[in-house]
Amino acid sequence: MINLFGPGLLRAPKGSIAETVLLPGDPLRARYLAERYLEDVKCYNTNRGMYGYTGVYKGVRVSVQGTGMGTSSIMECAYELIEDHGCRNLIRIGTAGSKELDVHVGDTILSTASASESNNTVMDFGEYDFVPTSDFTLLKTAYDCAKENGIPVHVGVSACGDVLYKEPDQPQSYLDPWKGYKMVASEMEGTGLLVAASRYPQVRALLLITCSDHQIYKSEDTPLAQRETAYNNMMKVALETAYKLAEEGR
Amino acid sequence: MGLCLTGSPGDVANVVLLTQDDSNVQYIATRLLQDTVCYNEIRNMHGYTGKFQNKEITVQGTGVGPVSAAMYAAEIAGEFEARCFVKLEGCTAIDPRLKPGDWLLAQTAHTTSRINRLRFGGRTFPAAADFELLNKAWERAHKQGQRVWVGPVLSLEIRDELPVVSRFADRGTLGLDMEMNQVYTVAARFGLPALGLLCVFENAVTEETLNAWQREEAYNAIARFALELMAE
Repeated sequence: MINLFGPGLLRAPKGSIAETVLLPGDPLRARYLAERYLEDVKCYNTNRGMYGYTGVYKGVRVSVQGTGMGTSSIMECAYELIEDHGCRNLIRIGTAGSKELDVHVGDTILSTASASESNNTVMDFGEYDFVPTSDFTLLKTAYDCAKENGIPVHVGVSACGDVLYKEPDQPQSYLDPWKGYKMVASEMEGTGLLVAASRYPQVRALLLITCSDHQIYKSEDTPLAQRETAYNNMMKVALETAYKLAEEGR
Repeated sequence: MGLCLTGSPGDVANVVLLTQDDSNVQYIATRLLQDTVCYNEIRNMHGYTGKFQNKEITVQGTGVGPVSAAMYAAEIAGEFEARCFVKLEGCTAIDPRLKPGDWLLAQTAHTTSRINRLRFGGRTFPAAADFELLNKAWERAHKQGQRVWVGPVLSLEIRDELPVVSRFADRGTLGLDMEMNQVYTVAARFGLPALGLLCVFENAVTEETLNAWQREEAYNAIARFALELMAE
């Protein structure tokens, strides 16, 4: 059996990761969330600088793990969390761009489904369209938590792409593939997480996003240093969701 | 004016119920709506607008499959006053947990059709229901004590594809239909909320099924539910 990553992307003892894991792309955002919101925090992974922490939020054990950027990175991370560590609820807490006029930088977004432009469903589905879908129980729980905490949230479908930097002289269909169709946010990991999770009937996944860049409202862009900390609404929704899932046995 | 529908823009209500079979269109128009007017008879795919509890509602047939459904949906959205779609249909469940008589809200719709791949340069479009509408329907059904499931369905193009259904079932797909993917895609193109409400007529895994009479009752129940939901 070939193992692409030796002992693993994650080097953590069994039992060190909670059933519910929050998944920011940035490991420093993982550290920020753990230090700010969790108690009894233990760092279970420093391998590759991809920090992972387990702590307690309102009595509920929860982990937060950096995933890196791109579907490849998040899928490898997800597979290890599921297969090696028995994780069940995977909630991405990511940043994304948007160009929708009703979305502003700092807004919290829930994605019901993610567009795909990569090959991660080709082996099983060939030319057929498999739509990466967020789990409804997680989606509804997060939506209700946002409402209960007075946090406004946009809900829609998001785009997931593999290329951030595109040459401007490319055809419009490449530069703006979803023209005319509302994509509430545009990021680069969502499809990977939802496709990986869909392989396991016991695993549920959700995309929770903060708009960090806007194509139209340019003056609102978040400086790099603030990105770690500017997403408290999203973190609150994610943590309250983890709490509600455990409390209500969902 | 398009190929499939006659009438003026005002002949169609903001709320449009879509369904495959013209017999179901007739049923809804004659038994569930009042003051019904027929705005389309082309190809015997009738469209009617009438009232349910004082709310104007249109019911339009779509025919079978993604091609036909996309055409009717695009015409009714592009040329008429349609502002919201509710697709009603019986379906085959492919997850063994679903029992005949259960309801299925299609959160997303996979497809075997090539239509979207061509439209989007080889990419997969996330054909999905409007969440607010889905949530409202779920809560109302749940309150009524109706068993209701939410998840992806697979919109097949042809019966030849039945052998690949298990691949989708293994990845969380709950049921089969043939139009949801395109109804959701067209709705997205026009910026309209859409919801698919399916009633399980049979389960492909457990082989449990409803008989013809039970199917009629079950369809009536989802049609009535959709009308009450949209008349609120």
